[in-house]
Amino acid sequence: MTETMLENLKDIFRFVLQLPEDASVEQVNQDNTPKWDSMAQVSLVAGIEGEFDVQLELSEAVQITSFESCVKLLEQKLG
Amino acid sequence: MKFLQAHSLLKGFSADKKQRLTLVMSGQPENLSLFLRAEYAQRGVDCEIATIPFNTLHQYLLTTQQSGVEECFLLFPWDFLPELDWRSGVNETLLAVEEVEQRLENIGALFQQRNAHFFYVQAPVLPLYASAAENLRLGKQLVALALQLNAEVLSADFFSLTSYLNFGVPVASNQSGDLADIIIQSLLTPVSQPRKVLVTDLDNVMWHGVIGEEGVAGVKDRPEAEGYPHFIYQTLLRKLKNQGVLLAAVSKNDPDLALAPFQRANAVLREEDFITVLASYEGKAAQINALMAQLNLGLDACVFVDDNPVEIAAVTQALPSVTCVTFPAKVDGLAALVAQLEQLFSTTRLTEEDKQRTRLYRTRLAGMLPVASAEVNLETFLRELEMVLHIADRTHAQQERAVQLINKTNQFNVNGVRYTEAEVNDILQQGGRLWTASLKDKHGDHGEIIACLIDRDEHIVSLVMSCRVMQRKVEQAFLGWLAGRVLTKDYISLRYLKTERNTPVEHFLVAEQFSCVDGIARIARQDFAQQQQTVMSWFTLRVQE
Repeated sequence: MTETMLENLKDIFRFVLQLPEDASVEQVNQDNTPKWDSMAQVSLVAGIEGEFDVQLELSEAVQITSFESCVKLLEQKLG
Repeated sequence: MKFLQAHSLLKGFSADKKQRLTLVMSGQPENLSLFLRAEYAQRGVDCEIATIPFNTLHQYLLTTQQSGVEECFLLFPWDFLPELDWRSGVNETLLAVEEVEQRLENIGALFQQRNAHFFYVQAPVLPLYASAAENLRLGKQLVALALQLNAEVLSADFFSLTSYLNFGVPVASNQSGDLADIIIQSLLTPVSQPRKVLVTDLDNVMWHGVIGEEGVAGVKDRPEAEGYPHFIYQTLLRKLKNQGVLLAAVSKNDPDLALAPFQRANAVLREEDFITVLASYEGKAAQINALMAQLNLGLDACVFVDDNPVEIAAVTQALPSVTCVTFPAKVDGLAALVAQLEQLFSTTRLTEEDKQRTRLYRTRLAGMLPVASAEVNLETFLRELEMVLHIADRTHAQQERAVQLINKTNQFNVNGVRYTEAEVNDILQQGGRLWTASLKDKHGDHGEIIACLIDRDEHIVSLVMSCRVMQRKVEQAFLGWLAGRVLTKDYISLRYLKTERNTPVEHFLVAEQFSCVDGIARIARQDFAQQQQTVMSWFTLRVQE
């Protein structure tokens, strides 16, 4: 995963989870982010799929429980 | 547009131009809604989008439409028939075809009540009937139903089964930007009204061939060989006329010639099927403009059909509201032409008045003055054609095309006199000269289109020009050049004889103020050369001596 992609992924998290522009997202997870509800999960998946032109199966989408887990998943998908 | 770009566009965006839109779809709308707002923002519009809760489309249909808010329906097959929905699994009950058709009619009527924009995604569906053929037919029925709503029918690529099953989002995430773009373009395009008038060219459109050259017996419009596409075109026009479309013809011809084919016993279209047949050598844009004014109809109600790209370009430039359609040069293009005209004149209701409309307008036009012939900005148009006139001295070689032109041209022919190759050679050997001119423009090469035979006494004994390039002032530029560079006597002398077909020459001589005495048309040479300077400046002249 390139640096640009990583930055774009951070922006997707900030937009969807309504975090400040300079917020650090590396530690973000479902438990410590009140805005991360089921609708936000759908938006995150749509954003990731649309931005990186990938398709996530349900089993993959449910693995996204934190920014860290999302990075891991995308690294596997994108190679 | 991608997800982050959409977000960036919307960040802090505000504009004076506001829009309110309700996006109605049965699936989760949030992602598409984001892209729609971004597409609006890109066009300087601040759009507020309302959506409906998941899977409540049918309930929404039963509510009253809000005034001042545009509605946009994004429909999938299961919005017409819930049994087709992937999320419900395959329906256990076998439904009767009649029952399904009744239900489709009912739901269609509910949609029809909305004054809304409809989009229909042809997503794959679950089987409903036991018969595969019936299921296939149902798919087509759904598309037909969508088309009745004037829906834009979109391919299955916009649907993602994975996303729909997993998240209830039917629109593929990587297609959301494109879909939003399509929707906004459609929403911002004013709903086009069906056209009312079809103005058609005649030669090589209504029939194969040039009637001024080949005569009524020589043109072809029967259901055979080259006539076939023109026969089909005529039958299409007959159908359009019967559904209330007003037909008019505009052609650079003599009126008697233009009408002759419609007076034959076996003609598909008769003279009375047209509200008017405008046959003259005036520009078509000016004639269309005047006709539509006489009919008291806006130019946007008019469709113009011609085979000549130059005529199409001229009308497009002078009258941008007129829809111009090119008659195809090849038979393969015919299906597209028929489809386009069908679409442009599509109507759902046909009244008794529609069927009588041609007669009513014929009567109305009959009481009016002939169509005014003021040219619409011809100079601008001709300058923009980037015409190159290549003039060649054929006195000593390559005379075949010139002789052929002299012997087959009827309309722009100063006297109609035919010359054999031997007769031409005879004149040349006695000190005469033969010039030709070829024309190119930004649309293509017209080839050698002028031949001019001058005898040793400097009489122009033959001057002919192909009807392909009339109304471009080519004859003026050519004669202007000849007067300045080749001719030496005080007067230009043309051997002129009025024939049944050479009205364009008569118009030219009158317009340029030639005097005609004893079969010779004359004009002071230097004055004429001077007068043509402006017209000549519209051409790039190249001379091969």
